[in-house]
Amino acid sequence: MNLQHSNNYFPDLVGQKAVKRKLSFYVDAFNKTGVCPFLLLTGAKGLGKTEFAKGFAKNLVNNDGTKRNFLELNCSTIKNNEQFFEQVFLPLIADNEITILFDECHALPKDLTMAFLTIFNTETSTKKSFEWNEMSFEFNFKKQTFIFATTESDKIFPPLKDRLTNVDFEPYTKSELGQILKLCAPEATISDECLEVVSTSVRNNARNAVMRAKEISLYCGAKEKYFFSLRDFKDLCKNVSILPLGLTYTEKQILEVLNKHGSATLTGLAAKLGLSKTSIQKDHELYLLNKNLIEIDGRRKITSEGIRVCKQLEKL
Amino acid sequence: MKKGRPLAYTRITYEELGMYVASKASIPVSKQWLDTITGGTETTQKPIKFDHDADKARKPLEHEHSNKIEYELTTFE
Repeated sequence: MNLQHSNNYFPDLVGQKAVKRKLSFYVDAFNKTGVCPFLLLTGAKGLGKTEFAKGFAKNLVNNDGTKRNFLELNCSTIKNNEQFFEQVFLPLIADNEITILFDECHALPKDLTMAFLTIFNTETSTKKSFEWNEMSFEFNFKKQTFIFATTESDKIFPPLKDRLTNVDFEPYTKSELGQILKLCAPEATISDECLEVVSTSVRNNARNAVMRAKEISLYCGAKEKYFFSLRDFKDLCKNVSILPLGLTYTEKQILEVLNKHGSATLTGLAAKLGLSKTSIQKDHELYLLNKNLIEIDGRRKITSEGIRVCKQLEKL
Repeated sequence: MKKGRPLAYTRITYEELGMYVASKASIPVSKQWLDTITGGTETTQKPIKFDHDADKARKPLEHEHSNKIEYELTTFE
């Protein structure tokens, strides 16, 4: 299958070539067989898992030729089996042709995870009857398509993960982020030079690119401009506090502390910034490491690239 | 095997219910159901569930709406 073909199914979505190829294969298979494997979309936040799940669902057609409805559930709001079967399964899923996305599926409650082990343990049959609490719930996989998505695949119960087909998302390239920016700010013409710089400010993240595009649209609307130049972007950065590389102010502080002291232990850094060690590790350090601005070798150290960015920050 | 709404609810005739509770008793019912039969204009006390163990002090339990599952249903054109 070539990319041209997969783009036919996802005309509005940029990048993720491997994901598009894989999902297009399953759309084609669904069109012939009426069934689709239970998919698990995994990847970092903001890579487009939900958008791709929706884009995939849009291509699924019911027996009568109409497009299949799409139900998006936030798993962190599901507390137990009773609540799921009563509020969601019986009124929305049972006997209906529908695609269901279990978003943030690592947060599924334990009893529903166990129920899913039984329900999705199907090799050849397209139907499964789940008996619980003296009742029988019929799952028909020709009528119902199940998709799971999470940023934290390590937290999914391994036997459940074994029953799902993994579709892994990759980071966007700078040029793909540029395409997203252009696509989401259609009323503004962004110069190539500017697009290059704006793309570096969206933290490798499609969702951030969409948000930045909205800011550009608002800026152009407010200034009654159709052309967005590098000068305009600098002005926008000043107005809405966008730092180089899209750094947050806490990340900036970490860089400044390390630049001043050369290196620091995690405890020392936490004390200087007034943050918890876990917060620094989970929320702030990862992007700095990703951008090669700091390194960890027992102690946290600033890199030459980090020093360069620090100088850039001082000029602001 | 039965098929239908699970647990929590059971069927009882109005006549039979009257044998157990008096006419002024407060009965918790689904707000949606009540709105359906009253046309959504009925104003009653908020449904509060009570612990039936007579030895324990009566304490209100969580209201139904705090346990709603968040979902979004999309219909494609």
